[in-house]
Amino acid sequence: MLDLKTINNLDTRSVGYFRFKQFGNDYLLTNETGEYVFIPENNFKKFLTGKLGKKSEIYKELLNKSFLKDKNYLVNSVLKYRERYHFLQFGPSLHIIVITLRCNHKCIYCHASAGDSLDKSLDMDLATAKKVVDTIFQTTNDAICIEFQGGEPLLNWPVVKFIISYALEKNKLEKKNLVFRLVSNFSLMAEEKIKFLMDNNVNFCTSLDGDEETHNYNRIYLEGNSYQNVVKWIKRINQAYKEKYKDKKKNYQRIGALITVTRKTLANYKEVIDTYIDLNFKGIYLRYLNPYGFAKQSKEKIWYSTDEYIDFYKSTFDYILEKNYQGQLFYENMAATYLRKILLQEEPHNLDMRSPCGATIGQLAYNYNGDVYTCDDGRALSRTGDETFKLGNINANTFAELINNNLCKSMCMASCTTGLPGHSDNVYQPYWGTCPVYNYSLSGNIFPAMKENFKWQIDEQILDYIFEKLKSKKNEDIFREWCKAARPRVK
Amino acid sequence: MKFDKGFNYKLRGKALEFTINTKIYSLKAIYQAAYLFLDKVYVFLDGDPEKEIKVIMKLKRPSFANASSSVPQSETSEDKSAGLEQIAGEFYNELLNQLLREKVSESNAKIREYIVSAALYNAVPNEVDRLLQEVEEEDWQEDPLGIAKTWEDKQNKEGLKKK
Repeated sequence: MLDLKTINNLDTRSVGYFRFKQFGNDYLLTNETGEYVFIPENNFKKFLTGKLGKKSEIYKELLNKSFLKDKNYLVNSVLKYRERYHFLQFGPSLHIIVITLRCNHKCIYCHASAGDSLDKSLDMDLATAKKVVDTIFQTTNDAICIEFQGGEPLLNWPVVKFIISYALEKNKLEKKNLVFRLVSNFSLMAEEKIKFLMDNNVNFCTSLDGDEETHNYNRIYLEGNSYQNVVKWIKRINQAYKEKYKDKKKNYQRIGALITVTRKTLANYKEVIDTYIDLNFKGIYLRYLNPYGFAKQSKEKIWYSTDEYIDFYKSTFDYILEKNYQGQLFYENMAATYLRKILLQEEPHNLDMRSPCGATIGQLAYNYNGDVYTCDDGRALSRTGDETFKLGNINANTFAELINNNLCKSMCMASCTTGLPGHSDNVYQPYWGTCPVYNYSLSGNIFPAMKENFKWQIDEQILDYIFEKLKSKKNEDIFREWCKAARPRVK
Repeated sequence: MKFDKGFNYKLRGKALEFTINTKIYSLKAIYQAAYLFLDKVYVFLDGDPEKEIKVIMKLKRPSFANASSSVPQSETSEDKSAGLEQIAGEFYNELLNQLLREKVSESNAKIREYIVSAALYNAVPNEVDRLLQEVEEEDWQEDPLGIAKTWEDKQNKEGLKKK
């Protein structure tokens, strides 16, 4: 245990800035550049008081990872810090377009709070779509990802097609690094749509809540069997990728799937993982519920406590690790995001796990009617009548007005964890983020009431678990493979 | 009643009360430690910041959202007292952690500011590298010009020389 004598004898000349927590018999140390080290208590005290032997392995490790100051400390720290936060120099790259609010599913947790499938007044029209694309291309970022969301975007297919064609045409002059992503339940997928989308290098992402029983319980589809439909199209698209990239050495499968964990999922974790592996997915993102939209209204039916979710997460994580021990590469994506920051000191741009978060400076969400929001979470909240996160409208505001909105600055301040009580000196500060929309939805305040925050409690326990597992070299080797597999694939 | 050597506390109904010497622990360390216990207990701070701070803690009932709290879920008043004693002990340990964090933070404040400014300074990278190289060559760690010394320190030394 720490004592006053050790603290008062801190060697301020050699000890660089670090954060720490006791971790069993060791201390876990992290620093600004995202490096970490486990250090036994006796060595921790020697480190603090400048008494570590300079030839010891732990001294060298602390020096290499910038926990100790030497003549290279300043330059190394600046370069690593700059690399890590380079995204602050550019404008938003992710542009989420809500093609329609209509949806033909009635999922019990719907974050997007979808509207009636027959109400065409909830569709984006062509004039609005054109203006949205023109606005998107004003970003200062060289990379643009246009993501089609809803509702179910395929219910307004002509506008999806128009946006892809118009953006590609516009990009002949702009020469941005332009990619598209379609987020769909695939219920309206068809061969000609797949051909058009693949010809234009559109990535696919769908919702798959695990095995048939769990999926169909969560994702209610009155016109058929949602699970059987989505599995049919996942297989078809995987096959199409295989044909398209048959000359390449690597399998360029790029279809992504998201699971939303509800109370129903908790006991079925093995079936969920087995389903994903059977469908040739390389990973799964064990996404917990957010308190927006319908999820908030059906809380009693689908919600779980922190303990219940963490038990589920650990059981699933162990099951996934066991698969890896048996030679099956498969990763948990939330862990992989953290691990890329921990092991590689890189920023994976999972925008609500970033500090500051991606609201406005990393992403913008365009509603079907041209309203622009800080992020898709802010847009989803608007379906309950709360327009707190609306930046403006493409017909009324210029791109500069949208970005210079005071709301953008507030979101940055509220999500910059280096300035938040409880976060700023937490050992996990270099790795986690906070979501102002989530905080607002829980407490009415975009700044987190940290210790009572469900997300904070879950994130901290997940990071505890990851670091516990990281103590094993065998696990670290597997985690490094996860990092590689979780990186976005090159076109 | 004593919990440990040097740690006196009183149990008043459902609340536990103890004092902290501000000559040893800074107010900042006390505030930061208190913040980390907000999910477990209600914390009331009182007293004289120049001498000692009185801390009063009262157990919270865990809500649905923070069911993972490590607060003992006991019902009897004896168990509740034990839970409070445990939390008060953890609070004292956390004070030490906060004290170290404060010292590490203070001793690295300037250099952290410099690192962030230089890293995010939107200039041509080569220019930043050149500036960094200049700073390195100036041997800032040795402080040959005595820039880090306070005015009082310099005056005292000069005064001593004159005498």
